[in-house]
Amino acid sequence: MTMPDAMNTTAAGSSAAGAHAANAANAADAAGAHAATPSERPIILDVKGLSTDFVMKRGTVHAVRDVDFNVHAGEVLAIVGESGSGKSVASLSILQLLQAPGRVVAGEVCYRGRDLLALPKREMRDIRGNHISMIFQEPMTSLNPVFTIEDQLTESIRTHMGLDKKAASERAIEMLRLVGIPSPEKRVKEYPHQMSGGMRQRVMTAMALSCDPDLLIADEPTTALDVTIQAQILALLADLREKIGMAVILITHDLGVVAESADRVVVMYCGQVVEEATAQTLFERPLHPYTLGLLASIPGMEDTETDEQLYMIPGMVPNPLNLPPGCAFAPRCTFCIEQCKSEMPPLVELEGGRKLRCFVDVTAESAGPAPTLPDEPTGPAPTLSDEPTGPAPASPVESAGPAPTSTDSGEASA
Amino acid sequence: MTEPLISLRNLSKHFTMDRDLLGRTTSVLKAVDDLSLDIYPGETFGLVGESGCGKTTVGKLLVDLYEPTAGEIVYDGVDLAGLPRKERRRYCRDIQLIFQDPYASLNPRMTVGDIIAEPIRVNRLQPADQIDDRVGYLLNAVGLSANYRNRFPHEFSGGQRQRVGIARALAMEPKLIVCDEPVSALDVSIQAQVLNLLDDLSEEFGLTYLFIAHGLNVVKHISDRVGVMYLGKLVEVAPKRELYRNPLHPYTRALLSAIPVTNPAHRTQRVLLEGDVTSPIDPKPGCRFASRCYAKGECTGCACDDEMPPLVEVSPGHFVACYLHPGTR
Repeated sequence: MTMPDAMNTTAAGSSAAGAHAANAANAADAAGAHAATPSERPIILDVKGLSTDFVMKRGTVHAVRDVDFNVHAGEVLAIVGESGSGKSVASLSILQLLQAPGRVVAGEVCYRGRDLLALPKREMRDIRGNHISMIFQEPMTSLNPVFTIEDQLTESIRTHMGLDKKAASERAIEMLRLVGIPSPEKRVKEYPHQMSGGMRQRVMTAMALSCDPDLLIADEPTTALDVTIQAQILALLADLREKIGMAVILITHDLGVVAESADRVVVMYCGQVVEEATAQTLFERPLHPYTLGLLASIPGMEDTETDEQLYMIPGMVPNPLNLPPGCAFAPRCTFCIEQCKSEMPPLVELEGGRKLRCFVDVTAESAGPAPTLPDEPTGPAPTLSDEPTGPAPASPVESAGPAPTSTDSGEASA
Repeated sequence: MTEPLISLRNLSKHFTMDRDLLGRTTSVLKAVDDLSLDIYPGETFGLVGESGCGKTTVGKLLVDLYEPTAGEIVYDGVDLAGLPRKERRRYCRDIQLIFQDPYASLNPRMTVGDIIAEPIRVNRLQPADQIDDRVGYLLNAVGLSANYRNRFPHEFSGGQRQRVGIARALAMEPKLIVCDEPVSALDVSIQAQVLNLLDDLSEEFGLTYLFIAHGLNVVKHISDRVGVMYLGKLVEVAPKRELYRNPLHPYTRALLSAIPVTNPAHRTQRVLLEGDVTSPIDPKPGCRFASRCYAKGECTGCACDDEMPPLVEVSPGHFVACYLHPGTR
């Protein structure tokens, strides 16, 4: 592909505009990216205590509740959850694209040292599309049907990169070629309805990438697409990440997509982070009952030799207007204990950068659900303690796992 | 071997895209083209393909929403396609459809009870005074409380709506249910609930399913046999295990490799297909898959560009339409 050309164009564009400090930093990160593992690179986005409410007549929905996460340069962070888990609202809050009645009520979003939530509108507009850009969920509805692809692509290129019409149009064609659209000189003159779903998704991707963003937020980038096209888009994102060194927040409900492309995963349920881990550890040893359930209920992953029923998470996502008083997952959880029903478990940091919001050690008795917990204080006691490894499940061998406190249960699961 | 419950024989459905001045057809979309398929009683047949490959058209032909351009649909020894419309309806009672989008397929102005009772009433399946009991029974059968009958569809979640759609299909006491991507609009955890429900119901009511999906992973769980469609043609049919263990058609292999892995440690190099599904409008002669086929150069002297390979049985129950396999040449 013609990425070097694209980079040149950018370099020319940014020197002309003189406002691409972050992109330069981005390139520096990219250079160092191959040396360091994702977690050792600098944090570019740090979300702290983000809360977003929707105030409505029927009551207030706390769509995002005290969410913390960060993104390192050049890393793919996946945010996983079902519909209504607040994953899309969280990303819209970062970019301040929320529509009323949605409102960020607390928290900060630090992007390279600047709190986005405190920025004036003008400066925020400069960040959006330029430094942080977004691929929206539905390629069918996110493109304007009455403008050509060229009009829509060049708009942001001209605004952010200060290119003239001709150069912007060339850049647009370049981007379309980059995302693998055949004969882009012709397609650029077309309207969205003349393209297939996969093509439109690529146009959205091209649009999001056209200003060489530092961070790309991809909200369900493959959900509306056929499996073969999905594979193409994921391969494209991985390819571009390698080339431009951008970081990606991948929002999805499909754990298969996560396994395929993420470095780190944040699992959300009812607006809260319930688990955070590297992709590798999350899939090998999920610790939150919800994550366990999600992993077990993916069809087509089990051995073809068995015809057993799929695992199902019983019940449904609770009504956001009427959340349970304790852990939001408690009513559907097979591991639920009394404490879960009345008290919200804190998000506790475990060893290896893992975070977990659960009182129960799901690895303790892997044989059956609802393990009975011993009352001994050394065990994974269901008490809320303040020490960092607090309700940490007693965990065996794995070094990436939580703090290894030696108990019977630990040995049992080892 | 038992008799098939329903047989599609050389079934075609063409849509006219364009006519010339004299009204002669100049451009044809071949949604389903010369497709033959047997479905046996009690089995779940998975039909897989990308959007635009004609899998939904097959479903609609079966439930009499489309009239075939050519070919036969043999059910119970009778060719449904040859019957006059009125007589056909009698048979079509046995074949019901579950729609893809549970949000669009239920009338928002009707209560769930009315939605389920309507087909019973229209077809006079039950005396009027027993309809209520029947609706309650059906709601229970799909795992909903009978008290929900007076609620409206908007009060339900996607998974519950899909259950209502299933209850409506069951109301006709069908033998065959065509499930057109019944879970693709649902969340993962709800998908599992609906798939398990369908599984249970097939045992309880002795149902046969034609299960349409665009990915091989959902079908892998529920099907007994799987057919892979590409641009109106079946390119491979095999029992589930055989298909997953020994896929023969290059397209099937690409679809299988597109299933996302569940372990990040197993990220593999995929067989990526170039481009989109080719347009089914005025298809060129030759194999429909030829333009995207990565294995095309592997066999010499194949007629990939000249003639569509026939669907032949290469091992018991395993059919494939590709010149790579000696039997097809």
